[in-house]
Amino acid sequence: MNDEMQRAVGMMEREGAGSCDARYQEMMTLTIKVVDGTVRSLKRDRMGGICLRSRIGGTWGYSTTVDTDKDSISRAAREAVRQAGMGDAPGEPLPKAVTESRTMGSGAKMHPVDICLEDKLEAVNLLDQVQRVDDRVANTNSTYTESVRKNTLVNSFGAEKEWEEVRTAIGCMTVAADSGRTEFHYDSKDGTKGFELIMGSDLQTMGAECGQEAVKMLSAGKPPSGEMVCITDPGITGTLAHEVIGHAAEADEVVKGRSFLTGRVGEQVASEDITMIDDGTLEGAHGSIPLDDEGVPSSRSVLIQDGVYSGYLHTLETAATMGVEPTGNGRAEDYSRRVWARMTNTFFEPGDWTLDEMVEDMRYGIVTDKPISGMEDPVGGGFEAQALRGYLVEKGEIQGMVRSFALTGDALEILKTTDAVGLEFRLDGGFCGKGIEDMVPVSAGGPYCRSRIVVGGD
Amino acid sequence: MLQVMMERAMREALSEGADQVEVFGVSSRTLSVYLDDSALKNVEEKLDRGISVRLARGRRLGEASTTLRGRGDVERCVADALGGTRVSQPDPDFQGFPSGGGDLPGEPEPLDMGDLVESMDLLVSACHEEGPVKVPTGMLRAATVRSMVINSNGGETGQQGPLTYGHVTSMTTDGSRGEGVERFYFPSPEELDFASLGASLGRKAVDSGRAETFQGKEALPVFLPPHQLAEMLLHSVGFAVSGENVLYRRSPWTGKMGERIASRELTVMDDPTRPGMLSAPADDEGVPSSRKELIRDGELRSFLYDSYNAGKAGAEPTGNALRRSASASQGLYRNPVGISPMNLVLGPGEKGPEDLIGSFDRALLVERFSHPEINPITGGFALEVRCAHILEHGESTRTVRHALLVGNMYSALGNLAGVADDARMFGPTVVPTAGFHGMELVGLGPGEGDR
Repeated sequence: MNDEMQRAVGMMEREGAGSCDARYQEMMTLTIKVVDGTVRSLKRDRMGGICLRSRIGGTWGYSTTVDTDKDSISRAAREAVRQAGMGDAPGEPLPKAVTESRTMGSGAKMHPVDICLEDKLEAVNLLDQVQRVDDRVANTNSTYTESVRKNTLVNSFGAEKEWEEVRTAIGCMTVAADSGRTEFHYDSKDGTKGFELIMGSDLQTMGAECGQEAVKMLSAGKPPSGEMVCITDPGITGTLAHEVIGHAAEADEVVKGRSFLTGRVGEQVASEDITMIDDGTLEGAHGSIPLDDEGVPSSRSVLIQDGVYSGYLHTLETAATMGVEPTGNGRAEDYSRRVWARMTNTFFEPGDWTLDEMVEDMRYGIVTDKPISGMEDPVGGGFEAQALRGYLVEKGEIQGMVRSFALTGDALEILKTTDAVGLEFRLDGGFCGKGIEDMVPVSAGGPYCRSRIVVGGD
Repeated sequence: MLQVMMERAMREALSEGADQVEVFGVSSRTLSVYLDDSALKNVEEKLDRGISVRLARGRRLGEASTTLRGRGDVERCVADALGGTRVSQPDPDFQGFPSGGGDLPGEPEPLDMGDLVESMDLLVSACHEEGPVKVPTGMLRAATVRSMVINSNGGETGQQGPLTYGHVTSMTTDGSRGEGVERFYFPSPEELDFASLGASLGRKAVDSGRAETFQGKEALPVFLPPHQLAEMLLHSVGFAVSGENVLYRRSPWTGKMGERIASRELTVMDDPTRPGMLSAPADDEGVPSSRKELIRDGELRSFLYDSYNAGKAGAEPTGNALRRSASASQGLYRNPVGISPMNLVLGPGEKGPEDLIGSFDRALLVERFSHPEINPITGGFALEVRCAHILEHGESTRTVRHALLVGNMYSALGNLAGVADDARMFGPTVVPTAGFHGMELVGLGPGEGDR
């Protein structure tokens, strides 16, 4: 395959491409879903194919195919150049940042292909079984997934790179119902790890607590509404980091002025307590990558340092446009998708407050507990997140649980009100889309943070 | 070639000991153009082909899928699926794959990249005419998708057709941070009016740029346009009528068949006999589809089933097992079978949206949420309003943003304020503007207590 890829890159250059590359990927995925104690799905998926990418001026031509014979690859290479020639976008020449050849393993200690199916099934069955803590548990759901992604990249700078990414995840969701009311709770663990992630997890406790918390939510009260003091938990703090600051720091949004962070490097945009990072090198984190999909090594990028906005996340192209070094954030969902500027592991750095200290200092407010979702707003800088539940705080003490609610407001205004940043730090893994599609594995997190935020829920 | 490989997979599975086999296959050609800052940034052609194999040995089930790249893929996929049957427990609810079906599709019509480029040019020009506005991001996709399903019980059917999906944003260039978004779905690009879409996109950015931060709280009738209501209905009604969610007691409508669960004026159907993105004579298991009343005059009338959950519930499959998508054309063979409406239709009203909203002293018309997501289990929502109009007797008095719309969708279905006649195709739905009582707009300002 590597020889065919080299030949295709040579052909694209001869046909007139300014820069070009060939990406070949194979992805193997195993998913096991257990519902109410029954295996509802046990599925292996193998996908693969090749992408020929060619750039003329600032327009890219992409041609992808699953046929990997010589003639099909040659046809795709010619198409990629022809398509790049159809556009008129301006563009600087790409930096020759990816020139060395390299082969990298995944670092998984217990590679999923070496673990028998029975052990994986046993783990997810156990997780499902222990959620039934109470008659009010109406439905239990447990999922195990593993993915092995093998990448080969050949580019017109002479580099040939091969690397592997392994990810494992296990999660559960319990639905509880009583007297016409239904609620749910969830938990999950994931990372760029092999089966050691499962072996290192206390599935018994994880499942039982998920069941217990779902039942507790049946008695949660109505959440308050309005602007108030809000302690965001590490999950919601991470949602703010990822959805608002992180997406707006993606340099392909910046070069066209779509990001509210355009031109703000060096400006005080948040409280001095706030430092925010994107780091694709964190060992074992779900968003970590050895190289991005353009072959650039991943890196640690400081986005906000002590409240001052510091930098952006780059592809080869945005680095060329802005005259800086690429940061290893050019990522694609798979071989058949576009490379964009994307995050990896995005988080606020911890501070020195305990959660108890933050609560003691509050007259009235709310503490969030687990995110459900969030949405980016790179143009407006608005923050929106859904919390699974929360706790009211009155006169320095945590009161009752409240059910799901949303948080909203202008993100930078919120960060200017942050007056306490916690010690406890956590990253949650997941998948991030851009323009609704193009899902890539990421993580987001941080500490508990206390700010003023508009909340509301039914 | 796809059909040949599917039949080979079936023979291989049966010869290796499977008692029943289903093979789903898809081939697609997708053309896409992406805009960056109103210029053509990416031009893409993508060719895809793959299969999914589900099989049973007795009542032990296995499943696998693969891209069809070359030699050995079919055999590996069958071996993977058989491997699942060796470790899984017998499933007493498995009743077998459905029999019967229709015709297999022929070759699709070719697509032309030049048409896509011209369509986007038209959209951008029309958008620019609406004011100080540009198109920072845009994507238009046209694809031909050919899907087939065959099984060892004689089932054989398929679909073939074009798919057009676009997602384009606009933004103001005068510093007002206004943004507009258009997502559009049509079976064929010829049916889309790109000049109108561009003009609408430009107006939305200008409107959004004028929006003020909403302060305080207000309960008022709320009208949701088709492109927002469609997703909210899929997340609520679409979830609640799924036979699987009913069986697992995730649905709030479990045990409520025949009961009143919505206002009398509300009728919702699944109607694959009408044009729609997923409308087809049969579902992705080969079960014939049909028109079904889900809610009739406010009363719950039917649930939707695939073959597995129908067997478990003692019901007939309803032709609602889907792997296909209203917007995606690649990797469809990787999607598991899920229960979904094929074409969710909300019965339209008789008045235009202007007349309907004009009959209220004061109302809110939402232009755009950050994302119209509902908690499907509880129906609760608190959605960030990115642009909405407060209207008095139909006249816009304020445009607002940075507020939450708080409510519960299952309760809202019982508090209908009216349904307009402007039904539009959006994803696997055909939905008009509709209004609801019982929601509250919450904005910036002092909350319940303070620090």
